Amino acid sequence: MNYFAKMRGTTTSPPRVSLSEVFWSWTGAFLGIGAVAFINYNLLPQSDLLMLIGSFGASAVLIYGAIKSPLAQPRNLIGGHVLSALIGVASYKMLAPHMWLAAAVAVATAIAVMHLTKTLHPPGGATALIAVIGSEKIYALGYLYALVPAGAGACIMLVIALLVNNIPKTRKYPEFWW
Amino acid sequence: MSQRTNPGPNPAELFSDEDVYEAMKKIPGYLDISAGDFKELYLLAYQHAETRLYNSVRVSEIMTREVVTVLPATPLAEAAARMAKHHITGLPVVREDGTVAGVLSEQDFFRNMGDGSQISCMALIADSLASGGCPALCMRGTTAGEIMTTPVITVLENTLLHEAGKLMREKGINRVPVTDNSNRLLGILTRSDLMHAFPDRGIL
Repeated sequence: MNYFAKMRGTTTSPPRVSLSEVFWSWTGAFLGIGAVAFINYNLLPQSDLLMLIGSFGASAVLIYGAIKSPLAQPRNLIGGHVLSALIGVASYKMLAPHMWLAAAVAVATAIAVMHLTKTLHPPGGATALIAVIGSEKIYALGYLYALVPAGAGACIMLVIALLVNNIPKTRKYPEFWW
Repeated sequence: MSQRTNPGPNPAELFSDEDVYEAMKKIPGYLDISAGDFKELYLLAYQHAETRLYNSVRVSEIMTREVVTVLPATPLAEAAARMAKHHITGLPVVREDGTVAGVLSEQDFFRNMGDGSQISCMALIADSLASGGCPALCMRGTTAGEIMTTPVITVLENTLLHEAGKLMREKGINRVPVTDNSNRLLGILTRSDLMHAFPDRGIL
């Protein structure tokens, strides 16, 4: 196909899901984000730890809204967040004076490593980027960022996904673990 | 393995994007794949399955088991009548004990008619019309065993299909008798058996 013809697209977008699917996506996301946000705002404010990062919003779309996707499976969710977090922290530590470079290296390398480890999870790119953009609290965590919030938050959201996504007859989760 | 009796259309052309879209609607939940990608995936999986089956199927699974045969002593008149009745152009010549003695085909008849120079039906018709005689008459009283092709190429029942197909292609034969270890006839594998089992492969 020639270069410009490819830009026209060749097929149609997938069908819209049923209302029950919308309901269960909403419920899963409410409970999953609710759990990590509650821990973050109500249980951890006195500590140096945090449990909520922006990339969990994107994970919620996948693990509660597109649960069949290979990108939404446990291996990808946990592996994607933890590996990307490590890469993000390392990029910041090594390249910090050059923030644009640290940000670009973090996200690009996170994608490459997720590909190589078969853990591609789009929110992982955000997890890597957040390690660079930070907040002072995130910088202070150092490599602990990969365990809490990235790993621990992903695990809590995974538990909610397992509990909620298997309630309706029409849903099952996960498709595979590893 | 299911055998298809009619060569089907290319599976990629069999269904439209709309068919895939409608099928996707039947599966609850968001499917993270486009109809176009699904079709591509289906086609590749189909080709893979076909190759896998072709490379693992044994001759005994698709051969024809009810074989029309003649004895070496069968007169050619009777052999020819039997081939005509069953609409076949060749058959195995089998001894009383069930072992394969040879194969009798149209080509064997042609070779023994007239002066032996005619190798097609039309050549014989032309010759007969020109000379006013019937070149088949000289074979009266001849038996199948006298004009059959022998020794004969056979395959064992556990031969892989792709090996048998390769053999038939290389030797330029349309049928090959399938035998057990003692050369006893079990069935026959024909070009049409192969085409019916794998309509989408140009294997022969």
